[in-house]
Amino acid sequence: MNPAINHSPPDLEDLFCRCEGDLMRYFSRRHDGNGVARDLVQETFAQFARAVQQKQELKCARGYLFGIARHLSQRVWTRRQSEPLPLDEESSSVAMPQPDDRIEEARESIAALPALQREILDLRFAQDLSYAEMAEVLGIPVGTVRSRLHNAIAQLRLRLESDILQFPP
Amino acid sequence: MKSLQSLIIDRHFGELSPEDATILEARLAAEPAAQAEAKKILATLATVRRTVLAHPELAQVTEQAVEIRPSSAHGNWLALAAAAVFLVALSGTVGFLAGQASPSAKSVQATVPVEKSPWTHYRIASNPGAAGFQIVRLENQQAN
Repeated sequence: MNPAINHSPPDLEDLFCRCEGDLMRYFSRRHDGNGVARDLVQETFAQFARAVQQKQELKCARGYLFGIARHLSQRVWTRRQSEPLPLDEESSSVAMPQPDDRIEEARESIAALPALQREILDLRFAQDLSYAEMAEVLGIPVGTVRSRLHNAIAQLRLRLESDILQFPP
Repeated sequence: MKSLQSLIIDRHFGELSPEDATILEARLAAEPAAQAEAKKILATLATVRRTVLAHPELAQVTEQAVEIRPSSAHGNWLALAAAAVFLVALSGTVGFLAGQASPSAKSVQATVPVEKSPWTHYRIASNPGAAGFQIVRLENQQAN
């Protein structure tokens, strides 16, 4: 369930209680290991607290929090790309796909989408963020979030349904 | 008007306005084809959800990968307008300087007959060497 958008300064403790689990899940999905995820959650809240102290305007506290999380996650990934991965980490960094042809088809189709659309799909389906929250996270208008999400689903539907017509189960 | 697919996706995500929800419900109740379409869309959404949850690596993107570029149309118009203003200014300056430097540039006085009168008379005379035209005061004997 998405909390309502609040324009007043957020209660940090309340926000921490509501969003800590979501952020842990967000980081755990992207960066294996709860240790890394816990550090990133703490860093997210630390940056959020600094933003509150500096009295930055927060239209949507949860969205802003996920926006910080997204930047941290991207930074970690950018750093990781430039470093050689240890062998054990390399083998565990990618989740094992389920033995399901339809999911494999969908995975290939999603992988072919632009990065922004893939991120929108993840924020919606895995994090359950509203359009407004996703707009805050990504720094784009709500209408753009909506159109990119709809466009991605339309493309995936086209691909999946054409596969069914070609290769009926 | 929103498409059926848009309405169903928005309803699935809890983002549909009450007015649109009413319209959608009425349409689904009246059209069996729309119901079948809705089932297909929901099936796609379920597959995408399962896929996204099973493959978190799909969302792993670097900072450079998700740069959102603003529309370039606005910038292009500004650049075109600036270029047009520059060209007009450049051609005007070049034309003015060329006219000033021309050896044929000389003052030519207009030959307009002037009747006798107590008032001072002026004429417009062309002067391509200077500003193009100038106002010339006529002396008494010339006026006479």
